[in-house]
Amino acid sequence: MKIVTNRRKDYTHFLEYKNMKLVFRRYASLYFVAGVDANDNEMAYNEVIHLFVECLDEYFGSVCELDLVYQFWKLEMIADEIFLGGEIQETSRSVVVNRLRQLDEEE
Amino acid sequence: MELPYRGLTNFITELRATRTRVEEYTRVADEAHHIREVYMDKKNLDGYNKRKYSLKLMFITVMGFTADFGHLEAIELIQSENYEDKQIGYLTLSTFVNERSELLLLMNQSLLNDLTSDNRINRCLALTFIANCGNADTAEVLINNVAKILTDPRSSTFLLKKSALCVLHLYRKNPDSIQPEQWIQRIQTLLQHTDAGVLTALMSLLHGFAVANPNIFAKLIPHVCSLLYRVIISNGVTGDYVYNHIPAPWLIIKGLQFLQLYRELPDEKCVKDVLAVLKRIVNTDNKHFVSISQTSKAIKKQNAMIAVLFESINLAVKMPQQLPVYNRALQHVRAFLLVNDPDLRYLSLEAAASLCVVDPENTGNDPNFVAIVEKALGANDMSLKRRAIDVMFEMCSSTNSGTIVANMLSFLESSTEEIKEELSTKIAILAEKYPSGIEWYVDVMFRLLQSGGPSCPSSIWMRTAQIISSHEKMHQYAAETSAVTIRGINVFSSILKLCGYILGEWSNLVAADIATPEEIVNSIIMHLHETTDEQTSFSETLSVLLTSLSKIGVRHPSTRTVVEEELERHRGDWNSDSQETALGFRALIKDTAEEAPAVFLNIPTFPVKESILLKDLKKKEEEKGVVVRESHHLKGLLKQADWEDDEAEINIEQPPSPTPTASPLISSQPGQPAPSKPSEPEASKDDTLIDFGDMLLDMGSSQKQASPTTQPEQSNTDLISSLFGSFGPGPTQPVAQAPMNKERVLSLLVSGQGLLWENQDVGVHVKHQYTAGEGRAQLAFTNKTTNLLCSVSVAVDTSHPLAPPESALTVQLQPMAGNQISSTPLMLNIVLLAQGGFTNPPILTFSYIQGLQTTNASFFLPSPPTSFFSVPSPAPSSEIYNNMWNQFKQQPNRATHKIISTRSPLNPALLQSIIGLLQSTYHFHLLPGYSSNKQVICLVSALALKNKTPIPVLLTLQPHMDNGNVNVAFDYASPSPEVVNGLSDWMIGQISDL
Repeated sequence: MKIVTNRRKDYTHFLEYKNMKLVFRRYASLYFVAGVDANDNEMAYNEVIHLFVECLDEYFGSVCELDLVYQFWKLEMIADEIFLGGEIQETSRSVVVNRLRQLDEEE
Repeated sequence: MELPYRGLTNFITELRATRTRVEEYTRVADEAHHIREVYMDKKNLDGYNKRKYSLKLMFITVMGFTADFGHLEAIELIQSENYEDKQIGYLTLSTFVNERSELLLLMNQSLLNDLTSDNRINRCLALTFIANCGNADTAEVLINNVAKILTDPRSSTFLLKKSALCVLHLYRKNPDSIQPEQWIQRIQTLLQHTDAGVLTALMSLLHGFAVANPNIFAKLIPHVCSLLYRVIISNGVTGDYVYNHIPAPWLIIKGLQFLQLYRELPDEKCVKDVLAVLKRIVNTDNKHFVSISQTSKAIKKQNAMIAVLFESINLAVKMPQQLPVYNRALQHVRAFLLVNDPDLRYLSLEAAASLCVVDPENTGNDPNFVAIVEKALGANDMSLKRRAIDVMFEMCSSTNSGTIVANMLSFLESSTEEIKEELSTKIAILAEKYPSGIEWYVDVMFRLLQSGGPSCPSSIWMRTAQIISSHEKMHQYAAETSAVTIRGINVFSSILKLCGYILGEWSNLVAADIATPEEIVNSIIMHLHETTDEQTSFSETLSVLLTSLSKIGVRHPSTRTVVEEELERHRGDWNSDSQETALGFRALIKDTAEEAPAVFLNIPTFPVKESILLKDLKKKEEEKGVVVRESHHLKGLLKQADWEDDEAEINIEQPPSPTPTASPLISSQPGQPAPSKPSEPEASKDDTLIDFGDMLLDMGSSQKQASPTTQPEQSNTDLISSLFGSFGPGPTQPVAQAPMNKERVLSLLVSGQGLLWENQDVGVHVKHQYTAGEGRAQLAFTNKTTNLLCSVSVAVDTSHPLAPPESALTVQLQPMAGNQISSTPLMLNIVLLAQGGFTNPPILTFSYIQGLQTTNASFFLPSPPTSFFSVPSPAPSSEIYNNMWNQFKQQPNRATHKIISTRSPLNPALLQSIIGLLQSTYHFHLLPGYSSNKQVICLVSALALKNKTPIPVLLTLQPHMDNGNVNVAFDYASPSPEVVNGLSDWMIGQISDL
């Protein structure tokens, strides 16, 4: 992952890696990286990363790195509501967050 | 927020506190040991503890360690009825399993239970797990249960989304587990769904299916068009599906990507919908995509809008005829190319590469555009550089190759190693494809090899050697350039090999004021001395240089002593190969001086085949999974019009032929057996060397090259053949007769591939297929002799009395990759377009020279009219068939009546096999009940024509089994008399043999 973290700020957020493209976004010291098919729409995935982060932010309430480490399984659960099987599943923030709240009540 | 599972929190805290990987590892090992003990004891293992330990193992796995236990405990969790247990069990298992994991087998029953559970959440959990981790076996066992959820009208939006993506994942893992065509109806219904989340997942499923089966899903194009219209123009989505002012951007992108799979839209309504959508998107003002902050000067991008815009541009590029939309798209690309934001420049370069293919006027031929792209080439960012190289490669054409290749070369000199290989391959391809002159080509290749240095793949110098040796006019210039180059020091080994090779072949062409043979020999010897034994990679260079040294030694006696001394010196080489080469050559030169010139003949010219460079590039692109752009460079064969010109000039220099050109029909030559002798067709199947994939690829190559290529070659051969004719044993006697391969054509009607024709020297294998009035055939000419067969020429014989008229059947020969048949087969691709009724298959004439003998032959292609027969789809009812027939009412229907006696007595089984033959080989369709007479069997078909209404054919059969009569009466009727004749000639013979 050094190739992403060592990248200069004024370079593109897209990297060719093996037979795919890496699309990444940086939030303070956190990097979110998506591996995308070489001929897919890079910007769409760049933005869906942002959507994911917004959902995390709303769910955890001003998310920080520690939330993601200590509740790593919640991170997976949120990811499973937005993405599935390598495709985008849901793009409405309120639908995702309400769903998670509803699941939490099941516990 | 209060954290659950205190033990887990502590464990994470402790791990975070470790300072080295070793410390971290020790802590993990301790914890793993502890968990293993608890699992063994099974004491205190309630739900809470099971979840906690599972999560710990999951965390250990996520941190990059392997946890090879605890799997069964996780499976116990998913079998629990408690939601939390199940949830954590599935999450843990999804980090444990991989493609081949046996764990998946153990889970099948639990997954099945959850998929069929009444509890929606359990179903969701199972679907999520399968969609992320299912493999081919899971697909076999569970896909029907997943499919049931997707087809169940009661399923909630969550179940629909998850089951749609689950079906897609399982289909990708195991394409045989499901038949996509059965999903058209359900997808069509769901496309009406109002929930944008469901639509997004569904569009992914549809796109995934359509990528693999574009034809089947073309039916849904209108529905996707109206969906896009509904979403964008009629504001069909609400809530926060509208993201940064755009309705459901990810849904739109999937829809646009789906439409890009198709060349054209099926009807006016679709065009209208799509244009409205595209207009709305591309007509958005630039400042809505990018704004520049007044204070910080930072560029603020609306990523979602940009993503949608570029996807629209991808679609608009496919519709250059829609000028207003296309021009706006073009403007956006050009504007973004200039923006000082790397991401935007990257995206616009990507779009520009596809623009170059459809619109050279506004790209490669526009100096401003070229300048912008060149600027991007200079960027430090490798991602940008790669895209810029792509654009340069795509925009190169015969008008601008000079500048573009020069720029790419100077860029190559300063570029980093990681990109040099790709870049030098691309330059080599462009230089060969668009040479602006012979000297230019040689100069470019030498500079390329020098700048590329060790990064140049060796295929480049080999290809250059091939090109130079097959173009006589280059020899002198190449030899002189080599003589100068080889004088230098620090010459890279690839260029040394090229120089050595060229000088070995044509050292006699170098003018004495440039270099004398002695000087050339000295330079070569200098390089031989320069290298040390450690350079193992040098052994190839060494053998090339030793070979050329020997050749020069033989050609110029003045250098012989020096050459012999040098060869002698290599007697003691550590490398056994070069030792052997040197000793062998030395012995040849010294001991058998008179015979040596015969041994060191010039290498015969290479047949110009598809460039190995292009193949390399194609392979790489395919590995990347890139849907190969419709690049004109990656298609077709590399024999270019520019080179053809040179050859045409050479032809002119030949003395004109004193005799009329030989007849293209089979000419019987004294001393040669009859050219065609039928043999068992089965024998040929194994040595069919045609790759069907290649065939389809090559078919894409432009058809307009066909005539300029075949014509000069044809005249060339005729010329040479008539010249050689006078040396031969006697003048060739044209004998008009029908081609001899009718039997083979009949057997090929069933098999689709096999031997078409052969004589003692050549075998011709064919693969062929027909759709909608268009036939494609690939012939492979294989050499059965040990000699090279030269001056091969193939042409369509339209003057033969049996040949179909050009107006009824157009036969286009694609350019061949050379005119010689060596040990590898020579391929010929043919496109056949049916335009009207015709009787016989087309005839090809074929000639070649072996030694001093010219052989002419002709044969039928396996394409009688029945090859183009296709039963209308859907299978016609009597009514539909009558309608078809009525379209031809005004034309006289031609009917022929024949009575055939079958060889064996007619019985129901034989009759059945006649009908079977008519259906399988001649594409007839049984139409029961069409005739009121029950004794009469009706079969129908139609001759499919390119872009015209098919011509119907009716065939009625009346068996006479009673009275000991063994006849079948055939009645044909068709508006086209030619088709009827074709049927009589080609079919009846075969039926009466049954």
